[in-house]
Amino acid sequence: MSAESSAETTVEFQDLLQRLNEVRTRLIRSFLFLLAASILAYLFSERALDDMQARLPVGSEMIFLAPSEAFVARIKLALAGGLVLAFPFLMYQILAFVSPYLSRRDRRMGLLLIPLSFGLFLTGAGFSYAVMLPFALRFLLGFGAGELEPMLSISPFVNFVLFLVLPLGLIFQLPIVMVFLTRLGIVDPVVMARNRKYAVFAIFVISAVLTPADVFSQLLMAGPLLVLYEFSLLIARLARRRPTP
Amino acid sequence: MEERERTGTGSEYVLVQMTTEEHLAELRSRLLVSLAALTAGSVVGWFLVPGMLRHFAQHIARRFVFVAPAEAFTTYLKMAVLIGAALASPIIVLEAWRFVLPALFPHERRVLQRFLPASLGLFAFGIAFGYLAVYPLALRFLLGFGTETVQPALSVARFLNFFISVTVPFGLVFQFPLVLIILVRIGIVSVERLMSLRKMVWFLSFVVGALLTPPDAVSQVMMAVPLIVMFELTLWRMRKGERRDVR
Repeated sequence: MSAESSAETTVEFQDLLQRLNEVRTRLIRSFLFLLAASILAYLFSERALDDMQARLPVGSEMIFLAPSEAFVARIKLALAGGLVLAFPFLMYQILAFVSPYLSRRDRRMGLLLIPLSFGLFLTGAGFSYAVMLPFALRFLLGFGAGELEPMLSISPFVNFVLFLVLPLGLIFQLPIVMVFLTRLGIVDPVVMARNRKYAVFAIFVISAVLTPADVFSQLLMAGPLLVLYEFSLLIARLARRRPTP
Repeated sequence: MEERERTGTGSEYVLVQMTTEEHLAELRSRLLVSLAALTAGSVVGWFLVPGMLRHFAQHIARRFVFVAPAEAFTTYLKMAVLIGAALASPIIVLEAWRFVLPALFPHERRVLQRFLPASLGLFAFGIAFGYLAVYPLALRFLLGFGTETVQPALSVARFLNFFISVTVPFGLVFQFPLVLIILVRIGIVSVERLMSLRKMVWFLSFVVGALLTPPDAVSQVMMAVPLIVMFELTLWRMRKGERRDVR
């Protein structure tokens, strides 16, 4: 009896060791991939920076105030780019690790979710970069009149761009979140449709808070969010209609 | 409430009972009024900002720069709210005064009526001293370190921080005489004890000056010296008062 249970424990222990080993290899692999992606992104960082500067309304000349500032800004840009590039791979690593515990249907759905999520992220970030960034910069640099002269330093500029672009990529994940919440029964498409007016109000308030205080960029953010809300509602309806197993 | 306003002008005292809800409702309306005043003041302030910036730019004889994309905008906002707070301060003080008044006994009210104007006056005096005396001197001293090869290109956000740090702390520190008087009145320290602590107070004045002002010797000394002068004047006045009491 006791010998049998101890043998069982050994097997369990071996299993655990195996899983830990897998975590280790997957972590190392993810890190290496992230590093490679960041190095790749670094190679393009100068061109990316030039492109960002081209989005400034006036002279695109920039300064750096500390000796290491330009270098650090490039590294920051490379890391952000590397993270974006490596994102699908990192998600795949997580999925592969948990896949033994998933049903075949869920596994297939997970595999489908990765490109979908990445595509949504790129759409949101791209929209922000192409449309919102020039608007915001034109508004903010519009204060560079009279006694104020813009003399932009590179590090705050890179931070500004990243904080405008990356969050919108995350906000664009909303439809996926909605699917999960609907499946779990936390969100009900009928309730969502009924409370549409509150959602519209909330979206405009959020847009007013998150963007510079001009009406243009508020509408610029509210527009896609409204579309996203309707899109999520549609997805929630579809996810609901299917009978839950 | 209305009855007390008719009868109680300070000397007589009619206790007015208000429920907690009534107090909260009053607090809410007074807060809303204060907030509305602050908002209105800030809107007015927004239009005063360019003129103020022009004024400041004359002091440094060149234009300001901004190094972060949002810096100019946030500085505009900050200045507008500061101007708004200054414009709305009479209303805000009045609202606070009206809210607190019914809770006070007549003798407390009398003490507050004497100390509040003094406190506000000292605050205004401190700000004026900071703006008219410390700010120009400290700025000239600091900009004097520029050379042919080291040129100032002042960031507007940092300049605003500098400006605030040579004005607002003076308004606060100038409350020192009131603090001394209150401490003696309550009986925490006696005038004699304060006199024996004189060396300590002089030393601490310089420490406070170093802590509360930008890191230049000029503004430190200009904070420490008024502190010491106020200390000595207050002590002198209180000793005179004591002697008169004894007689």
